[in-house]
Amino acid sequence: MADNCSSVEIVEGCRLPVLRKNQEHEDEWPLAEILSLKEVSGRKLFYVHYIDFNKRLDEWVTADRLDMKKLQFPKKEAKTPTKNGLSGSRPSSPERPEREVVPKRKEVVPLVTPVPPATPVPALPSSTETSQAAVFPVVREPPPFKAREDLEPIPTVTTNGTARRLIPPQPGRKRKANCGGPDEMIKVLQYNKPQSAAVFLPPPEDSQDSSDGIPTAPRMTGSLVSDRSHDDIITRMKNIECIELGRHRLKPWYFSPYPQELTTLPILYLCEFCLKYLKSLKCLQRHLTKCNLRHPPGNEIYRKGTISFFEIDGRKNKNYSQNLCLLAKCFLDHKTLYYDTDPFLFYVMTEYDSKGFHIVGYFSKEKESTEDYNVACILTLPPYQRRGYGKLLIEFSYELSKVEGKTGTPEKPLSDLGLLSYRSYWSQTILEILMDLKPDNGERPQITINEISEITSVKKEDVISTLQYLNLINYYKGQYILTLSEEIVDGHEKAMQKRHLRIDPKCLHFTPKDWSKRGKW
Amino acid sequence: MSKLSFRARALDASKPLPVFRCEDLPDLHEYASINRAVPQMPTGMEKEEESEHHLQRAISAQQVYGEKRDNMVIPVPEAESNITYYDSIYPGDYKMPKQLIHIQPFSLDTEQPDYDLDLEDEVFVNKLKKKMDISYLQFEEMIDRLEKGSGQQLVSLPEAKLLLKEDDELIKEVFDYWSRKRKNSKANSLIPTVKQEKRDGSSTNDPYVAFRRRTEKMQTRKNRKNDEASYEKMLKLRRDLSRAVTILEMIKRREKSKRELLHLTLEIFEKRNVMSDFGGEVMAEVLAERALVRPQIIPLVPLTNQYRHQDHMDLKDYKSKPEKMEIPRQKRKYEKKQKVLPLSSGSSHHSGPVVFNAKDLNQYDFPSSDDEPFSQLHSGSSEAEEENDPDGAYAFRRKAGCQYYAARQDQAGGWPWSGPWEGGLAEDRFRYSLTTLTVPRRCLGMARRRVGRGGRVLLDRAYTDYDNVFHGLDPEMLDLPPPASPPASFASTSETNTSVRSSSSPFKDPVSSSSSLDLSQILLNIKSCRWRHFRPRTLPLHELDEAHPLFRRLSRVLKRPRSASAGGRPCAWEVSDKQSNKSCDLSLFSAFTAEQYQQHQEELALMHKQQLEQAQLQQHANSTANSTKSLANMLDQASAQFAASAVVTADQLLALKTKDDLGPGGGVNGVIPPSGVYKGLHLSSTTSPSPATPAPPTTTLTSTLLHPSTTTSAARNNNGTAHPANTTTNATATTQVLLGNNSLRLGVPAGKRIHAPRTLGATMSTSALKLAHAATANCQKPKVATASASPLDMVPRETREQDKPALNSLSENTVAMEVT
Repeated sequence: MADNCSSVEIVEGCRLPVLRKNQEHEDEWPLAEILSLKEVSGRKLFYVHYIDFNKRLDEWVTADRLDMKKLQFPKKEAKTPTKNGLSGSRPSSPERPEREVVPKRKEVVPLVTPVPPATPVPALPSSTETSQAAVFPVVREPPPFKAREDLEPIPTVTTNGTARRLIPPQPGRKRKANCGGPDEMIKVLQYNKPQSAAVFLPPPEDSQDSSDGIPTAPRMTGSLVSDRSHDDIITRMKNIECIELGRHRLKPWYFSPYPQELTTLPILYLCEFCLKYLKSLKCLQRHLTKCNLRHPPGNEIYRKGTISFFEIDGRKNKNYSQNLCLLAKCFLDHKTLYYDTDPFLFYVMTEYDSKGFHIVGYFSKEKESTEDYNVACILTLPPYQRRGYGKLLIEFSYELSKVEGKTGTPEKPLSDLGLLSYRSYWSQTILEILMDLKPDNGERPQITINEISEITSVKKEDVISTLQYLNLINYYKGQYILTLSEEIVDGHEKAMQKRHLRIDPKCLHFTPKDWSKRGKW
Repeated sequence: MSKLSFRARALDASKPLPVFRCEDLPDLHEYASINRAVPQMPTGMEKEEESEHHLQRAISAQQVYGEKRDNMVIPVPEAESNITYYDSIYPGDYKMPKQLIHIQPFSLDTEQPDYDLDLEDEVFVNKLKKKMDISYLQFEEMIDRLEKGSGQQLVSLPEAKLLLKEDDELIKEVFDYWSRKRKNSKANSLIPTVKQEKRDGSSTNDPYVAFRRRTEKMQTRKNRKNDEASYEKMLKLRRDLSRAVTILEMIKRREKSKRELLHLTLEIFEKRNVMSDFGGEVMAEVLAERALVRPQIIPLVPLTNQYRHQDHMDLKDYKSKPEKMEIPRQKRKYEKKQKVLPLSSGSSHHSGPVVFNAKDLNQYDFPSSDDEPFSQLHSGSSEAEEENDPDGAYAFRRKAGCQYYAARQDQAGGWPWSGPWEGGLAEDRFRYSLTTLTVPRRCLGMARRRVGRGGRVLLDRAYTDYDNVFHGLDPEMLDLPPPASPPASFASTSETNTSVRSSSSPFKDPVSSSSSLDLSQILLNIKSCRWRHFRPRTLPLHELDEAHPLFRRLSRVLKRPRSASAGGRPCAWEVSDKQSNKSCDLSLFSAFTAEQYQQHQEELALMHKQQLEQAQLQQHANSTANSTKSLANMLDQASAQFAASAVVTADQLLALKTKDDLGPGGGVNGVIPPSGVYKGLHLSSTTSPSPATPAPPTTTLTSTLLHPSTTTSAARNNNGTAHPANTTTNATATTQVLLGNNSLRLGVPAGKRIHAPRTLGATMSTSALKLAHAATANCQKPKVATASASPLDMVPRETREQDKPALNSLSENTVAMEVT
């Protein structure tokens, strides 16, 4: 395959199967997109993103792992990492291969393009083909196909029964208009209406379009971004190779804006306690002679056994907060570090040993949330993952909400691991309540969703979604009932046996502050 | 399926839900199909991530098995936890406190340096340790300070010395090392820091910029403003304090050098004592030797002083700067009118109390910190000082050896023009002048001219008892030549004349004002320039044709745009009474039409020819304007002399220049007179007595000032420097003249004249061009002139330094330089 590589130029945006080992250490050849190329000591390396795999698995691979036989070239416009259609963060590529790809390769495409369910099928009526044909000549600036010129005069395109006027796009938008799928193109054309072009801001749910050329600052509240304003090629790629934190070496999952000069280092050293970033072991050693912290620089508000929680004010302790955020960003895709840490509190969970309080995970929380968020970002550091610490963090966050007397929900979007953890926590918490319900005067035990929410501090919507997910809500004889199947009960009991780590509310020493009265975050 | 027919009610969160075990409800599956009635809740994930392979697999595995299987978890990049040296670098002696840890505010603010020594530094420090005493921490502290002291620009060594507390040698070593390291590093700081937001907003999309300040309103608005205000205040306070530190530092330095000076003086004194040099002879000898060795740098201030005192009369006059603050403000107004008075009366100093400045006597005193002006702290250089001083080099400075007299209070009033409150008569004829309109040609009586909006000229008329007499005045009579040409020194302006006359004739003579006037008496008065008589005069066309930018400058400086009554022609106000008698024929061109203009152009061409011929004839003749009465002659005479002087004076002027360098000629050398009227005349009058002065300057006096030859005469005063510029001026439609080295910019884009009549705009410059061509064609001289121009050109550059003050005065006085 290496010889193939030399003959064919692989460019960014190419797609091809790439060898990777799965968890069972078996070879698999998932389709991947080349995001970047580099040469290290004469060897070509390719940064690949496995389609339909999370970005955290993206990696640099050597040419021998590429299946050159099934190489798909990117479309002309694929170089710009803009979104096409619905594929979102995932790289654009041969959605309409018949246009760009040479006929010879055409037969390859169906084999290797497992069309993602939501992707290219335009939600247009049967007139799709015509509209597409009609749109293209108008959009492209010298009409490329003579044969299509006869279609040009068609002034309107009918989509979904509504006639839309085609307005010639402004010069700056042409590229964009060209690379999109048909339905997006129509959107773009709409935006190009003179009166709306300048001030157009896409509705929040149209996240795909929010980043087309107009840099917009993310919203001020919260700490997660759901829009794609940061989704350029730089932030799509991991920039830190390895982080050494205490006794651990972590391989970052995502981009993090550590000082750029440190991104070239093979290892970035962090002080385990203050999380300061250092370029070398020597510097770390020097730093440790000066750093006398043995715990996160905040007040300890919970301690049971070796587990402690520290509360850090993002305004009062900027240095630590920022260092923590930089570290967390390595493992949280949607976290944004756009703004300062002032409006957040950071709850750092630590495990004690004779060296000090070691950070295990943390969650951040807005001092005042307008949307009932009780968690902004939440992370268990990779070495501690899959050992129940995540659930402990979540539990702690709801304990705080209980003290505050509020219900809360994590800030969206959730990551895959976040969703699994929260679902797991919600399920166990709700099931715990349901199982503990005792028959009242010989009647069926009953409970309202609001009651569940109040007891657990889990927001009502999350309770409903969990009940649904667990398939507990049933409509029976004119009313809704909750049903507990045997599998659910068994599964729950097994899970609860494994759940050793619990938060003890008695060990929590926490008095919520009314931040609105302070006038400061 | 049949049960689908009804719609399930919405799920009510506040309605109790009975909890069943599935085994209790065997028929539940029959209802299963309508379970979908509960709306599906969103997962809260990004859509496209929701479909990711590993998540879907994990979810389905959970649903199938009820719990996670190890091989069904979402794979993540590996993490190791086997750092072998971990135990060695982190001490393991930490005891958990019994109590919950509570952080004291500010307990975290340790004074530890943020900079951490790396391997390279270690090598350096170890090497340095052999020579000096330095610890790692000390080194880190120094680098830390240097880094934090550097913003966009690196700290310099002197700054570093202020910043660091160590001894100089160590600072030097570390500073050098740091500079080198800093230069080699690509990062903008040796202490790695997260990229900061740029103020210009260019970093909005930089992915490496993080933790931007939230500038917009937050959810909490309370006290937000206060926060910001106090933050700003803190910033200001910080800045102010750091300034104070700087100032103190400088004071320290100054006091040190003062001490040093004192010691040196003491030493000299002791040495002299030892040598018994009581008379100071040895001292003088040594000083003289030193002067030879080191060329004395003449400070700018004394030089300007010198200049000032020789010229102070006129400078004082036109700047109307009160020499002493005691002079009441009101008097300034009148100073303008009497300004030639001191000039004409020569150096008649008033007797009065001599005012000394203590500083004159204090020359040998060491200035102490409090009697020193603050500005000197900041600006050691005189240039900076000039900037601070609004008067610049022209601020009044005393000269040693000069006597200064206080203003005489007793003579404050009593002038005919001053108001009754000052004991004057407030006579109208000093405030207004006789005015005659060109069309219709009649005398208006006393009037005062003002410039109104858009350059309109307004005449304020004043009623006098003699109005009927004035109205009967025949303007033609005034065009007769005056009985005698006025002395050269008075030739400048009518204002001058007025004041001169009034100074020479008895001021308080009531006859001229109060006794009944008859026509002839008035006429006589006017003719003898005792009274000003203003007649808006149409400039002869060829004057306008040649109208040099300077002309327009003059017209602006003198505030003489078109007169309302004179058919929109710019007119020479001040000179009119003088000029009129010489230009009687041309002054007839009052109002004219396009045809007339056309006609006139032809005449002009003829005239030019004649003039130039005449110029050739007269170029060696030392003719004065007094001898030639025709204005046409005036014109060519002037231009001829211009050409001639350029040739003749090429070498003479150099001589002149050297001679005049120190005298008032400083103003002559390469300097065009500021107002073109006053100064030029003054200067030429002062230079004319000089034997070295070539003949031409005398003609300056007689040349009509608004005549284009003004330029020439000015240029002549300029030692011909303006000449090359002048020719180019004529040659280019858009004229920019750099006169002397003061770069007076007199740009006259063709066809864009505002004050000049628009119809003439374009042709004016073209005819100017013509003239230039004619000059080159007919004169034969210009060639030489241009040839000689280059050496002449050098003159101003050489004299630049000496002329600087004069040039400055020039720019001060000519306000409207750019005429477009």
